[in-house]
Amino acid sequence: MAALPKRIVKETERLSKEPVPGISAVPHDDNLRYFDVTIDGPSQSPYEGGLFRLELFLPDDYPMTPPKVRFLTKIYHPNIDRLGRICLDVLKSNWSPALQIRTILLSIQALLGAPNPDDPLANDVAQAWKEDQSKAIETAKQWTAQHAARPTA
Amino acid sequence: MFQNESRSAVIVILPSLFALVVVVLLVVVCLLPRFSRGDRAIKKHQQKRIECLNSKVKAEQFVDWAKKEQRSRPGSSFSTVLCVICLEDFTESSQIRGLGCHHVFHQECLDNWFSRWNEYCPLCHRPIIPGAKRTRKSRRWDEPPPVAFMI
Ligand SMILES: [Zn+2]
Ligand SMILES: [Zn+2]
Repeated sequence: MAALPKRIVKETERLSKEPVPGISAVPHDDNLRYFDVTIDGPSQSPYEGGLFRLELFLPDDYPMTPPKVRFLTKIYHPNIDRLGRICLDVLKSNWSPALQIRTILLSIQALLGAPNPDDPLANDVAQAWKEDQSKAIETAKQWTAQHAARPTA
Repeated sequence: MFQNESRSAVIVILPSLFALVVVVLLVVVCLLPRFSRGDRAIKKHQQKRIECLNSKVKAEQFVDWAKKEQRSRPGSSFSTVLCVICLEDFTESSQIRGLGCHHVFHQECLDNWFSRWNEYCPLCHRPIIPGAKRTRKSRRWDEPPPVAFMI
């Protein structure tokens, strides 16, 4: 495997030294481009109290191309589909190498706080969200309790 | 009986295996030059874009660029001494490209970004080539950047 670019080393160091509140990203020992990520559900959102697991992979072309990020925890959200794929412009056409792992994870956390059913990836969820928002929020809360419960210590 | 069966199996299987190998080889031989030709076309295209960039946005040493910036915008302090693409600090002798939007990057880093058909500044999304038309894909540069750029 080619040497890890300095930029990735720097980002990883900073993620562990100055972690973002409510977010953790830890690289695998045997693949330093592959991160185990957790994001706390934002307060005052249907995901509050949940702990969401994600995987993040830095492709060879990073930072010229965006990281690949996917939810591993099941989540009821109009912009996240059944496979955990995320509809977020900065992960696609609006990517810029000035963005970093931490900024991307912050954007994903913000997306949990502000679901956008008008730009859906999960069409059925978006549809439900538009038809009856309070019912959709109730479902999202149920899913959070069921799938994103914190491990009890 | 059993021997007969295995013999007929050999008679059927061997030629078809041979045919399969021939087909695979043919496909590989036909496709290989096409791939490398595609590579060469891309390289050539990238070279052209860099030439265009060279004529519009000069590469220079960081120290020269910083002096010019200070003269043209007195009072502006340099909070950015870091190239956001590689996260390395600039030294006085770093080869850089300073864009019209006053954002600055290592020449190597920006050229790598630009030659892959990304025509906007990584920091503010304005076109790198002054006056270049925005493509459909890139966002309007007068819109705010997509997320807070926390560095
Ligand atoms: Zn750089
Ligand atoms: Zn700029």
